[in-house]
Amino acid sequence: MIEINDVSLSYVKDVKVIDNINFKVEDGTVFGFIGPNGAGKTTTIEMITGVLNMDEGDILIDGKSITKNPLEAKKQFGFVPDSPDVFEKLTGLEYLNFIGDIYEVPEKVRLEKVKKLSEEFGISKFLKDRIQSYSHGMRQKLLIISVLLHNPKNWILDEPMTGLDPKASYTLKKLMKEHAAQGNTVFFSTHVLEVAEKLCDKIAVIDKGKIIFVGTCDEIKEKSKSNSSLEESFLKIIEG
Amino acid sequence: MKSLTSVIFKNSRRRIVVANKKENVLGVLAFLIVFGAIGTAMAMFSYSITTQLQEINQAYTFTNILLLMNFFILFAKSVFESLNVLYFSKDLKVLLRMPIKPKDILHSKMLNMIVSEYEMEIIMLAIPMIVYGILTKASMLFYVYMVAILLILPIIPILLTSLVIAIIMRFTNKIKNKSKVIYITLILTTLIVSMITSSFNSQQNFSVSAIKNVILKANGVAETIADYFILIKPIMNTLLNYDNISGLQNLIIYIIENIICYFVIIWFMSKIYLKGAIGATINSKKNTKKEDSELTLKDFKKKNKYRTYILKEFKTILRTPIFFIECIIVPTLYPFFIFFTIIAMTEFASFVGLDLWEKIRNIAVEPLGLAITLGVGQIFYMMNFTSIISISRESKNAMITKYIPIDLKKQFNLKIYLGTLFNMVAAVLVTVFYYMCTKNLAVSIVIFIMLYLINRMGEKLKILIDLNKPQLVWDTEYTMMKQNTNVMYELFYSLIVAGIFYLISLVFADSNMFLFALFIVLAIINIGYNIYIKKNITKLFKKVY
Repeated sequence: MIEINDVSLSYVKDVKVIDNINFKVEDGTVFGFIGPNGAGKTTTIEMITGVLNMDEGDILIDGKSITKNPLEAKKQFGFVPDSPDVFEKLTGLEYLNFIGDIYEVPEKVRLEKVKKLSEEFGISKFLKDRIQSYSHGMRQKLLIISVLLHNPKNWILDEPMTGLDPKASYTLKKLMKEHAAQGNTVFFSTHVLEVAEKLCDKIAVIDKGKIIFVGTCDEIKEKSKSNSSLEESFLKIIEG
Repeated sequence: MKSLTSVIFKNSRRRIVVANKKENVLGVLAFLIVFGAIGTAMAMFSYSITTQLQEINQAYTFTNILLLMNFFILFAKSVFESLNVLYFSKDLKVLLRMPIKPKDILHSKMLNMIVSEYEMEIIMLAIPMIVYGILTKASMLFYVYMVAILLILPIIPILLTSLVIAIIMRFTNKIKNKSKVIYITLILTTLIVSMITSSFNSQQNFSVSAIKNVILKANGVAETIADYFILIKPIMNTLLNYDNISGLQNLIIYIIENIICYFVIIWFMSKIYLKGAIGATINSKKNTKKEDSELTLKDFKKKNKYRTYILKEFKTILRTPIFFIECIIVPTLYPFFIFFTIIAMTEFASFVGLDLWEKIRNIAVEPLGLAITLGVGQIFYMMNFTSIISISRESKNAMITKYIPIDLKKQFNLKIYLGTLFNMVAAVLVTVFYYMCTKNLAVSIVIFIMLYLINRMGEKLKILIDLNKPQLVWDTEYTMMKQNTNVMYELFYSLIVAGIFYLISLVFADSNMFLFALFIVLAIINIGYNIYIKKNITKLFKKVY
């Protein structure tokens, strides 16, 4: 479970890029985080994962505060950032072992998971090559495998479908659903509203640093008095 | 072409935008202070050398040595510079798909490379030349020639190395491993350029009597150097004869040489550049055989997480040519080179009847000698860039430090590890040299402990400097190293440390007291650092995303 309580952040005094946001991502849900460019999606995710420090408020991951107890909180999630920048001088396998060592994943578990996931994502043949020779999509797949490797209860994914081919995208969506069905949490940001509509149990809409909606897809349609797509409801809500 | 040159210049010179204006002003001020301090140190060094050479009537030697030193530094630098700017720069992917002639790309990139050398030349060439000019009461013409030489000097080294690299890259059709290509090109270019430059040299043999004759003749050393290095002989002669027509004639000859070289080499390169550049931008994937890609338990050996963190840092350095040279080769091999040179020189002095060992031994036991010994250690540490780029070299990957479950303080300490380790080579050699001079084991061990403390202290400060102003957005590893102004703070810091050692040595007449006092000072500073880092660790990592 991820709880965001009264969180604010300013880069310049008196100009809040994130303005007092509150929401809760409950266990067993796939939670979509949507909003226009520059609305504060990545900034919020970076605060949840401890990359950025917030000015006010607190974020709890399975009850552990990212500000007061960062080490324990960081053990509770796996994170895929929006840009798949990984240590490109390492090979794919070395990177996965690096993550395996950091999260103390047993050798057998590593072997099983890496074999299965790398086959599913179609990068098994390239694991012994240096990451610098990987395409954007392959790097993204490697990052996703590294997150799944240590089996965290909470998945936090920033634009995870970017650069993925249709098969990998389908596999990831399937894994996200399965993970949530096991009582875990999947929190992800996306621009693709069709994906959010099909995948999410709940969504939050952020605009200009403020949360303007939290609820199910049906609730957003109801609120915006729109019976068609999530896209239309989203546009109505954003445009006020 | 003018607009292309300007775009490439701005793009390669971009800095991290500082949101706070006050911070920006302070940054500029700090840069000016550091630049000024290094410039002053260089001026003092030049003053000392020139006055000593004046005493033996060989003052002109100074300008020739300076030109020669700068010429070789430019050659060494331009191997990396050309490779990165011409073939591994990120802007190539944009430029190559635009309707721009290869010749225009080359002109723009060459001009940028030449201009980017002027910064270094101000410190390494202009300041020493000005000091020399003042001391030798040179006329205005000397300074005019000096400016002209400063502007022209980088052209030939950059052109020659670029040409060799262009030929090698032309025949490297498919880049499978960028690092391997860089290593191979570096070795080949160094060999070829060395052969070219040495072929311009005369085959003059030196003997002790020949050296004596040269020294006895007024400005004999300067003339001998000029004769030996034909490639830059015209500019050496320009400065040697600046007060007569021969100076101007030589300068004109050199300018013509450069213009011809520039246009001929650019023309030739434009014929072969495109294929090599396109090849360098292609990321080809190795088609590993199926049996090779079979994963087994052996591929997943579990390691301690701290060990794996250090290994990741080590592999990154080892597999990146510029990091490998600056972080491993220079700090571990350069001390050996200096060590054996000093021993050989001391032995040579003994051979001609000068007992330098005795002289060194007498100074070494004094507080000043101990301060010099420790100062030499610090100077060696200064050449190690492992810690000063420990954050910057990670580029966007630095973000990972913030979300993995390893304490930031622990990560800080893990990042010190490699820099400290590489410096220990210099620490051991300085200690061995001290022991060879004094045969005093106890003091040598104390020296080693002190060098270790200085090492730890310095490496911590280097990471603090990098954390304060990390350069996370860069084009190539080389440009990050080159544009990293943090390196200047490191030089400034080393000067301060050496100065402090000297000052403390003046206070204490007794060597034991000096060592004890210095030990206390170093221990207190180290503890102070630890407390500061522990208290402010989150704040310190704030600029890392």
